[in-house]
Amino acid sequence: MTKQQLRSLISKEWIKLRSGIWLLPLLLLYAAADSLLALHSLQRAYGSFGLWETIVFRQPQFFGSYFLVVVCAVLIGFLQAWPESQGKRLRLLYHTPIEPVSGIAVMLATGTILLLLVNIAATALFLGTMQWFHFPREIIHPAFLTVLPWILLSIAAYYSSVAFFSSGSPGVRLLIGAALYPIWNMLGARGAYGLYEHSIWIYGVAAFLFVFVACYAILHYMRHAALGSAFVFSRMITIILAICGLGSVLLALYWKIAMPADPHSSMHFSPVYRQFVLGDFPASQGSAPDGEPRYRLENGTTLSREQYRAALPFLYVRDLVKWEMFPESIGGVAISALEAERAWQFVRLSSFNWNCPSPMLHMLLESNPEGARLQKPGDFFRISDGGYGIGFITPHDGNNDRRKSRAFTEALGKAGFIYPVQAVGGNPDVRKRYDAGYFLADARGSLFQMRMVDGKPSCRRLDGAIDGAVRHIHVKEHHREEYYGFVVTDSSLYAVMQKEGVLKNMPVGRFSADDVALALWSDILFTSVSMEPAERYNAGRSGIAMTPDLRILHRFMQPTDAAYLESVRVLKTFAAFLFPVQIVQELPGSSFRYLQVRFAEPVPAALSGSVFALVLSALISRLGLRRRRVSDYALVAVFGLTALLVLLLSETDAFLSFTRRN
Amino acid sequence: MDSLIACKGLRHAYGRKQVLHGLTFSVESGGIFGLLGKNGAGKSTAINILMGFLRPSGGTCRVLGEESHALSPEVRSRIGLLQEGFVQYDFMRVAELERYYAPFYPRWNREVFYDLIGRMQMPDTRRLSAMSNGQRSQVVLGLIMAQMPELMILDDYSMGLDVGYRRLFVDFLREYVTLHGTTVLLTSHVVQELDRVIDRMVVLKEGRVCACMGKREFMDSFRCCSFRRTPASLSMKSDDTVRSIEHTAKTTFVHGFFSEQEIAAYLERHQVPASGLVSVPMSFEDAFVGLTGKY
Repeated sequence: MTKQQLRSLISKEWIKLRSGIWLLPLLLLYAAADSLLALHSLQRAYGSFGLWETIVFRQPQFFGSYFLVVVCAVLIGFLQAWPESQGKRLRLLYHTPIEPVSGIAVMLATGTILLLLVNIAATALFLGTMQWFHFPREIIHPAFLTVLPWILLSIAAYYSSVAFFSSGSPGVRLLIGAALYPIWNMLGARGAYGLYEHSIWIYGVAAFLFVFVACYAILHYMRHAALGSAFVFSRMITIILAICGLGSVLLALYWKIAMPADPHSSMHFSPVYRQFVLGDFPASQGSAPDGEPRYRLENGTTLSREQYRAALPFLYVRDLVKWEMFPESIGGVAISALEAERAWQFVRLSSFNWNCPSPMLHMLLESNPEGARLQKPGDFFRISDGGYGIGFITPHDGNNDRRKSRAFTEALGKAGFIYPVQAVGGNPDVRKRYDAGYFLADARGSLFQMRMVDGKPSCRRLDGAIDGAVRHIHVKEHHREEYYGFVVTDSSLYAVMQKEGVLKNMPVGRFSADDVALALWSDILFTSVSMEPAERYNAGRSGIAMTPDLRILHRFMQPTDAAYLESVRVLKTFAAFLFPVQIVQELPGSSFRYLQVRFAEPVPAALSGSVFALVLSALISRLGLRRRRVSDYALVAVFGLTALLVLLLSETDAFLSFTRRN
Repeated sequence: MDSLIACKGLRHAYGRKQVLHGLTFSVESGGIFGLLGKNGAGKSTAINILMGFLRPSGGTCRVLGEESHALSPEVRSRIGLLQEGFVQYDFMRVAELERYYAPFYPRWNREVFYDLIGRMQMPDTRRLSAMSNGQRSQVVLGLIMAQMPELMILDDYSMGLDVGYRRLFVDFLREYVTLHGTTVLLTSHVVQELDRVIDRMVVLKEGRVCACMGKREFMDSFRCCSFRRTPASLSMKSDDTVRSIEHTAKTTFVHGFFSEQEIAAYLERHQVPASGLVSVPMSFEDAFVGLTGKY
């Protein structure tokens, strides 16, 4: 292709685009104005600090209008593809004395460049809006990571709209829909900031693969003539995208329909029986009410509702008082109902709490307020200098408070803190009774408490060392003042003992920070933990009872309901048969979104599904309904029945013309 | 003479329905060649194959020496193609169309284009979508002529044109072909006008070639004779000699490539009384209908 020809093709694209291109800046300006005004109204109502606090802790979708980049993409696709393909105009492209793929490439490249310019402009407007309110990088980055999926979606939407408007074929349009719908759902979803942090590039690759969908739809027009490898390759990619898309939708639908109700159960250590008492709460079946709860001891002894509650006098103190059943002593310790009511603490820890985006900023409260209530400070702090400092930043101008930052950084250092900061955790809630400040793990695994007392830093090192990388520091002040909180590492859980000021490794057995849901109960007599992986049907729930100083007293393993396990196993087997290759974007125990393609388990069921689909495909082919290519059989062999379904969908045109003829 | 188009045993089927049954014909350099046939004769399929939009199920079709379904850009630049319904980028203005196409054709002659546009006294800033069908036909013809192609393929050039624009189109085309010696293959539904346009022709009937010759030769050799209708004439069947038979209340008409003596002998051989046998003069349209039949 000569330069003049290239210029000519580009001029054609400009001629097509000029009729509607003026809408793009208007849409972007609207998006920018809308998000600016949303932030402005928050600032006017709550002030600069309130605005930052809302953004940091509530993560509102003030930038929702930036979804318009997707509309821009569809508009660009429409402007380019519609005039090019109306009537039989695609024939003009194919008769033009250049390789058709070159003409298509110029069209798509022009649109892609324009779309990228739109997205760059949108990004600039977004960043400008954030800068206007002095937001620091720690807020801008995760917020932008939430807009970025929409930008990627706009790319997929652009290529899909070119494909949709270029093709009059129902079969091709069905494929486009099957491919785009799931990625639209994945990338268009709204949620907490920065959930795509670790896998955005995978979504980016998936979005750019849609360029082959556009190529395929345009080349499909000439499917009855000689088509080269470009058509074959783009068809293959389009069909794979449609298979992945349809597969993920159908798999999600399958589990929604087939998943048996999760049998709810409870497990608490009874100070009366000195063993765990269990409650089973059958789930409702359809419109029927929930079944009667069943209570029992570890050994299977059935308990009545009253007996069950009497076994847990701290938890059901009010019920027992009302029924006049509250004992004079519990476990040999005389205690009043009023004391019992305030003598326990309950904490839930889940891997979702730490396998998620880090807090954007931290808010260090004044631990010694003038009045009785805690008050919000006028600033936030962050881990600065690559982990080698504490930086306080003021929302009204976005500037660092150098004096305060230096004071806290130095105070930590003087307390023995070895930079860089490994992890930080706190509970910046003014409704609590007192403030324990923040806890920071240093480079050597020591834990430090950092508080602000009378505006000055107060730092101290806690006894004990943390073994392994710190995943999370959970702080929760409580009136019992037993624990400051907990430190989670890859395979351990540490309790931060408040009175002793020490770290204690909790003997919770096999602990995996990647996938755990843990409930901790602590009262004046015992501490108990019940723990299970997020995917409950894989394993049961383990219970450990300890003395208040964390010595193990008793262990118990509650297996998951066998009938439930069996039904899940059967459903998983059937799912593997139907969907040998599965596309999911959730990991157990993680809030992050990961796009993953995996071969289903159990493998024999998945292989059987592939073989069955191959046989069915061959039968359909033999019946004369369709002659298949070797590549089609390969797809069916890998993706099973979903591939066959997509291939049949792609043949809708042939089916429609067959029905018209007959 | 070189064959610009050479079709040999061309077959095509849509699913199980065979529409072309081994077409063999060629188009030599120079003159205007008509591809004729009634609706459903396979004309559009043949044209689509010639234009490269369909790959034939069997046989070969070569255009300017290359397989029609895999024409190289170089060969495409030597073919001027008019799509049925004057399909063109109608979102463009006249001048934009000229500028757009010019770089793709090495022998592009913008004077030819603007000469034709100038004759319509139409501003070159007008968009194609704002033009009448007739005006659009002239612009599209101008674009094809400006390419200075060796071969023009004009698919149903008369579609949607009134008689004035059809005449104008044909006049411009004739003038251009005479001046530049371009070979033209065309189709049209208005057969009577082809009489003054085409030099040679191939006529399709039910997916087969039923005539392939010069138009003058066709008009000289194809005859229509009439005689009194009898029960014997009513039972006549068409064959290689008698291509079609029609009956009115009292008269039977037979068409075919025969002389008056030959048809008289034929009727005698088939024991059909030929009382009142006379030769009937025909226009080109009459002859076409006689060859292909009314139904």
